[in-house]
Amino acid sequence: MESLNDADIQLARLKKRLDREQRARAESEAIAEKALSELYTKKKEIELLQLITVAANEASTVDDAMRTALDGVCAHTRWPVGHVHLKDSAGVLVSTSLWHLDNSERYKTFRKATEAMTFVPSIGLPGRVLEERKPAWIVDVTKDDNFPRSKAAQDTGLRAGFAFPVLVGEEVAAVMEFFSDEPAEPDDAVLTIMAHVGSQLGRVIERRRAEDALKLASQHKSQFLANMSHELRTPLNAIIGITEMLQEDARDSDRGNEFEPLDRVVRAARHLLAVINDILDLSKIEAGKMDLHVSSFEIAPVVQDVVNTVGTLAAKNQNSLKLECPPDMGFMCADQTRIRQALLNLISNAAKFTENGTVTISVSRTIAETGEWVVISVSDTGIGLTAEQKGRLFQDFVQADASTTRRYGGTGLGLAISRRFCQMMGGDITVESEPGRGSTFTIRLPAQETQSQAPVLPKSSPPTLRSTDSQRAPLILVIDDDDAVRKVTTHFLTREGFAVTTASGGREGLRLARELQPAAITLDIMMPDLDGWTVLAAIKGDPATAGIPVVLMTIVDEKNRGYSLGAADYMVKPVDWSGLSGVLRSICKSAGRGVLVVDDDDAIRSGLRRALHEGGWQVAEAENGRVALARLAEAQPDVIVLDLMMPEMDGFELLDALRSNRAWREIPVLVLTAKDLTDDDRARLNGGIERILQKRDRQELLSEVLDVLDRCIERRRGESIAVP
Amino acid sequence: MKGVVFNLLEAVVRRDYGDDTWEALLEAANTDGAYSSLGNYPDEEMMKLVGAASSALKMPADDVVRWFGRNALPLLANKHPHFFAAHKSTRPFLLTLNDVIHSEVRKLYPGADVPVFSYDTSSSEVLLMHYKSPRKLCALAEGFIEATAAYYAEELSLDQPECMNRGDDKCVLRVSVKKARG
Ligand code: HEM
Repeated sequence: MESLNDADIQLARLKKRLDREQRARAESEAIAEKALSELYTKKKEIELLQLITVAANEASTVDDAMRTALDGVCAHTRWPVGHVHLKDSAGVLVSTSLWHLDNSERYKTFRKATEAMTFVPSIGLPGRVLEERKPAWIVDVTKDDNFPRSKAAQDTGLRAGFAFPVLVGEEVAAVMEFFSDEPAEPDDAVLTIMAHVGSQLGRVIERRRAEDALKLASQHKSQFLANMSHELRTPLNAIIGITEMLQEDARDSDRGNEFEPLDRVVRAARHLLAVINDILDLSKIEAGKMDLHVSSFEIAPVVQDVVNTVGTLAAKNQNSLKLECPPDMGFMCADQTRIRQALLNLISNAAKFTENGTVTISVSRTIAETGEWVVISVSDTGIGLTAEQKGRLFQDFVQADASTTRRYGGTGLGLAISRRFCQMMGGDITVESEPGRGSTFTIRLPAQETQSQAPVLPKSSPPTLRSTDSQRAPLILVIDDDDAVRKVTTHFLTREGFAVTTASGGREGLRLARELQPAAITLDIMMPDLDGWTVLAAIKGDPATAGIPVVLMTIVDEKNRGYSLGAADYMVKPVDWSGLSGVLRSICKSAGRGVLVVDDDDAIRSGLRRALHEGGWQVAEAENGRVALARLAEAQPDVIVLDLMMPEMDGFELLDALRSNRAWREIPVLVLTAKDLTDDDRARLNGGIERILQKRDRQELLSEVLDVLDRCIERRRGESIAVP
Repeated sequence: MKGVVFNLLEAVVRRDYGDDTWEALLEAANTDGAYSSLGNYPDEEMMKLVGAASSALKMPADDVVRWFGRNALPLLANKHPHFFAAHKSTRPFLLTLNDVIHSEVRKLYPGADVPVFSYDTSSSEVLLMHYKSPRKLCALAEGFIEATAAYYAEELSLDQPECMNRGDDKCVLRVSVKKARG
């Protein structure tokens, strides 16, 4: 009896317990389902953001990026209508032709009504966004007081709407709006995502504006130079013409004593004219605006013609001119006028610096691996150049150096210009000389014009840079309009073991930064063509150069402005050279490369940031995968340090995103985790990982991370050296 | 409070006092007792269970909590061995509470409300841990620390010069350990 009772109690208890377990299980499942559906939504959001990020980076125009965003957002929200309004110069939103319409026939009336309107701040849905600079949501536009298109919406069956700003900094550059067929309550998750979309698109516009500004600035510069030279040439020509008239008068009326001073005026004016023409030529070459007129011509007659022209000048110093040119030299394909100009320059220089001697011009053809070349050399028996003079001649080739000017007379720019022309035609000018014995300048040009559009790189760096050793040296790009500064900086940094390339202006600097991908850039702030702030913004705004550390060099002390624009360091002129080389060395230690630290834990991030900064790294941070994607779009790091467990978008998801993007696939990833990885986890990580570090002691972790990253970069450098 | 804590309490009560005791506690505390480890449940339910245990076992509530902590920690160590395997001694383990252990706990159990300790490490002998929490569960911390020392086979001396339960604005846990002999 009693045992039966016991059993009953036992049974009742078990039943109760089972009941409880069932409830707990139901609850667990509910939690799991909710988490799954959240994950799914998050995944969709991430896909949308990824789409937009890629579009923002790869779209060739702002319109393309906007169109992708319209389609992406409509697909994400399953809303049928999306549209873009752009702000015009008067600050009013103007409708564009950018639409997403699931059914263009059905929404025709709404489209028409929209395109017929403009929106001022606070009027209508777009106007509200323009005014408040943040997203807005209308549950039902047909019932909204501030929705001027409500009739058209009613007629086409559109109900809910939301809009968000495309922000460039604080400024609303455009507004995107979307509509659905049903009334809908505001969805915070959607609005948050849209804020991201808006800022991504804002960056596309920002980049485009920077490019436009650059183009405009360079157009202004060219225009200015063209105007100036015209303004100068007109009166100069008048001076020359009138003075020559006066000379004739003087001769005719036998006032011979007036003749000589007038002659001096004419010569001075002609010299000035030549200087202006040279400067214009050089600036055109530097701006990439100098066009070559390539044609096929017979070599011998052209050379002969130039030699004849210089005959009188040579005779002045009792020099004899000797031309060694086989009559069957044949044809070449190049810009004849520029070759004449270069040759004339070399022969007249030779004649000027030789007395009672011989100037020999010899022409030949040679065959090399690189094809057939025409070689024209001009040798004199004059005073020659010392090794030091020769070095300076080429080192200072770009600019009119005072001593060069004295030595050669003329503008001193002739040689530089001639050389640039030859380089544009795929050749070069070189010099050999022995003091007291004479000099030989040699023009070498491809017989067949190979690459008339070859980029003109200023060869202002000393020749030693071409040795293998210096190829390993980190390359520093020095942007400064002052040739003395460029010279001194080049000299100093070369001595410190850096390779140096210089640019004399912002435009050229930006182009070189993109082409050469230097390890670091030193940038002057006060430059005539484009000021340093604009250049810095353009460097940081272009994904191709955003990762290159920039050290500002200037006389204006505005550190904070520099740092806020993304400068790595700041030096006030006069520059402390050892300070500069220390800064550059620490920047270049990691080849000036960047690391992105992705971890939701502030403490870990700030610890890593400090340690990595000291190790010379450029550190970007993100608190989760989603933010990391945004950072990646801003600037591509060389290495990523990644935590696995994070809210919003975890490490696994970010890795998936990295692998599905061609540009990011190769970035080495160092995983940090406090989790014991299961086989499943390892399978998901699937090899593409540099190294997995367990989170334990902070200090140990930091030094381990530094260690792995350093080795990682070492290896990559090794690779790039092995395959130059 | 996370369901996992209730699960732990259930596990140690069943193990040490039998299934009936747990049933009796649930009844006395008037809770339905269905706890899922990832769920969130009102703190009061835990306090009621502790209260019920205190009268059933004739033990002060603090002692119940301390006992719970002492017995729950080995279960946690079983579940998450890497937190412990990374160290050889109590002190370095305790120093990773904020940065590693509880920060990971927050991710493993979304919504977990774990305390943040601040440390005074000026002495290499004595570690001072400052604890502040509306739940005033310093006894739980004590239990955890006792079990941790046992885990590393160290002799522990632990007291609280300041305690919120005695009217101070924070608790100070004074911890020193030395390797157990033999
Ligand atoms: C000696 C080491 C530890 C101490 C002193 C400690 C201390 C505490 C304290 C005092 C609380 C109560 C929350 C409050 O005060 O507001 C707590 C909560 C918690 N701790 Fe720890 N803990 C330790 C180790 C661990 C370990 C190893 C784990 C798990 C791997 C863990 C997981 C948790 C969880 C899940 C909670 C509950 C959070 C919630 O319910 O919202 N703790 N810990």
